[in-house]
Amino acid sequence: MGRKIAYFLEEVGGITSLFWQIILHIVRPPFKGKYIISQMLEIGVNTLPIASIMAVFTGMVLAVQTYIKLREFNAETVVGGVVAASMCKELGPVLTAIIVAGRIGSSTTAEIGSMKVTEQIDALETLAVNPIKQLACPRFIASLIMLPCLTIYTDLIGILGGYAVGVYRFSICSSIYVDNSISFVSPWDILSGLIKAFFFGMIIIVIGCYKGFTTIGGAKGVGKATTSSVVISSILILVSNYFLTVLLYQ
Amino acid sequence: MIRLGAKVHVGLMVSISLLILGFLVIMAGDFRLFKKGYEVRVYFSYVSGLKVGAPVRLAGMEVGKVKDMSITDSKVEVVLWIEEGVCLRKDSKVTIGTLGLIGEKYIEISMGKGERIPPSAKILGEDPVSVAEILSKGESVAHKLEKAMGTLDSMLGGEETKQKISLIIENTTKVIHNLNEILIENRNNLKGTLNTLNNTLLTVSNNVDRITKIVEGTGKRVDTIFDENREDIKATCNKLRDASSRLEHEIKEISKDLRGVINDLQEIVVTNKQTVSTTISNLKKASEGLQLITKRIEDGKGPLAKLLNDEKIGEDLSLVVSDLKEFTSDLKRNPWKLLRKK
Amino acid sequence: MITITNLWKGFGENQVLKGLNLSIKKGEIMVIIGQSGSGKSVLLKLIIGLLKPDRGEINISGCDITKLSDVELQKVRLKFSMLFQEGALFDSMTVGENVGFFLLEHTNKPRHEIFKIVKEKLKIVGLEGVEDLSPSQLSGGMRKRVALARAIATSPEIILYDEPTTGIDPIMGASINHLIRELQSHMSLTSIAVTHDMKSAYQIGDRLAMLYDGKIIEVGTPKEIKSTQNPVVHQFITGAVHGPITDS
Repeated sequence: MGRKIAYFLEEVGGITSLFWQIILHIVRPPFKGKYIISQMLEIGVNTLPIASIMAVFTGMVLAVQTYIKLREFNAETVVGGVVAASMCKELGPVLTAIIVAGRIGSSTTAEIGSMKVTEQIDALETLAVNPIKQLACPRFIASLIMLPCLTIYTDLIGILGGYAVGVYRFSICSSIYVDNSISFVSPWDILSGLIKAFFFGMIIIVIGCYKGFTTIGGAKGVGKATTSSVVISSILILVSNYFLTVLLYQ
Repeated sequence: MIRLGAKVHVGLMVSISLLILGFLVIMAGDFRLFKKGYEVRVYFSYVSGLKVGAPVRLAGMEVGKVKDMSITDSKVEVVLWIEEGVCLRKDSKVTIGTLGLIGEKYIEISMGKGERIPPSAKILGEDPVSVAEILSKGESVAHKLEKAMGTLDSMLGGEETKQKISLIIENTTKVIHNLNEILIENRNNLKGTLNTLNNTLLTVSNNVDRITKIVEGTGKRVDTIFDENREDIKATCNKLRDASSRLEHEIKEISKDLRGVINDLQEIVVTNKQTVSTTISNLKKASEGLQLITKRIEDGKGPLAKLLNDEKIGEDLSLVVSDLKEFTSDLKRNPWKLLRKK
Repeated sequence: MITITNLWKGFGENQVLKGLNLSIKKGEIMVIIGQSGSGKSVLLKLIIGLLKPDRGEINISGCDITKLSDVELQKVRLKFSMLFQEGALFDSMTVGENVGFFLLEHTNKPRHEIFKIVKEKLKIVGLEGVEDLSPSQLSGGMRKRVALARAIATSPEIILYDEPTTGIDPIMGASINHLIRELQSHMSLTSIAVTHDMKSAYQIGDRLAMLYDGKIIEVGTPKEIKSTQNPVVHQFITGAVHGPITDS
């Protein structure tokens, strides 16, 4: 028990210190932007297809479910509002983050972890390159930019999915649907979703890098680190989502 | 080469996402960026939970939004944004209404008449009734009610009182029940009694008439007897008078009693009303007849005087008188005999 | 050139180095021999500053690197190069980018110029036309050579070799040993090699040091080591099954 607590505290301390070092290395020269683009490509552009599929079906299923329930109250037209609000406020950022955690969190840990066990991290240091600056910072920055970016897409695609179902399947009047969607969502709802996505991006990368840098034990260790990276970042996303919601809507 | 492609991809994605973001934010912000309008300041002393962004309606049509709210010295300043082309007039009333089930607040403006209100004008709004106020009033009412109930409770509070009340109620119920029972049981009796009474009175009336005729017929003889039997007649007369007055008194009392009974049991005796009234009138007639007789006898006029001269008549009369005497004494002893069937 | 005094290092309960003393002269190849797990690689990582010792000093050209901050350490590191056991090539990059990594990161030289240097370095280690391959396409021996090319591309003063011949066939091992000696004579380097391959140690080493139980128990030329009186060293170099190492 005591050992578990000690282990937990060590992890928390390690993650915090890594986070701090990432920030320090970002602000400390020299600035190197060339790795950021490739990470942005990976985190953003390459994740977009799967995130879009997730978003369109989430929006569609939301529309179906809410329609079924709201029809009982003769409030079918509210479907648009429910879909738009839940996509922008919660589902867009959270589901995108979970997908990115699965795709990018795991690959980050696996890549850094295997570099660690094959001494590539040490090699970087001997070549006078700080591994955090080299590996963590570009990912961190790319993630901070691309997660909100992806979330904007998933918001829109989810809303469009809901629109398609609401208007073409349930024959809700298009203009009423759009009107309703608009009246349910304020600009702040959209922005708060993006702020959440920003924090989720941080979580995914910091956890992914931490788990990578602390990998030990060869290929098996890499596998273990990858799994725990995805698990921990997913849990942290869901937990922090609650607190972020409370903070942002008070 | 690959780097350039990556840059293009990323750049494309980021810029499109910014476009989408702009689009979404503008949509959610309700196009206000593209519309022209003006501001009006309204002052309320109570806004009932109105929020920034709440709709503003002119005669029920949405024409703007609540742009800002702040507290000034003593009032709440509500800044309304109103679409261009919509004009408020001098006596437009600004109130705070409630929308739908959820109870969202909005600003309602009535059309009004008179001059237009210029942009950035200041208007005094009509305050909605505060829920707290309603509640506090309700509270005082409830308080008073509670007090009243308390008093009542303390009045009735004692176990003894309660028992007494319940006893009273019980007794009353019993009495009513008994009364009802008696009435039901005696309904026929009563009817019969009243009929009997009526018949009796009729008979009496008839008899009195006959007697009167006899008396009249024998008046002459009585006249002749009169002198001989002056003293007797005088006593008889006195007795008769006494009897008749008593009879009258008795009948009056009976009729009074009957009237009381009739009043009390009006519903039950509706069918007998007529009968009773005839009875009474008969009784009256009878008493009048009696009165007449006695008067004539007292006066000693007409045939009575003649009666006194005729010996035979005198004897007859004396017989009659003795009969009458008997009758009256009988009546005196038992006045109810009159009312009963012979 | 390098003086190590009273060096202690432990990982948790396990004390790896227990007051190690060693000095390495400029221009020589010092080979540290010892059993697997005796702390040879740890010693190398301590020298290059990848690990911090619990106690003790590591003096490099009169500068104690254990007291340096990260930024200062980075500067000192520019003098170093290290050849890792498995090569530790960056597998997200091509062979050319691996070899030119240091130059790409730390200099503003144009890319084509750097690739010219890369080609030269690859030629030195006996490879040509592999710049655009990915490290995963190379054999173990070629990886070592590429790693060596990357190590010398920084123009270091000191090269650390971690098990240079482990995991490759004897012929390739021999050619690597030959390469190490050749580089030494060409570039006036100071080298520290760690190995348990005695054949390699005798081939490349100017001096040998035996690491046993967290300490250097004997230092000497290959000849001196071969005729050692120390039973522990004797057992190790002869590879005897019985002796003080296995019996204790």
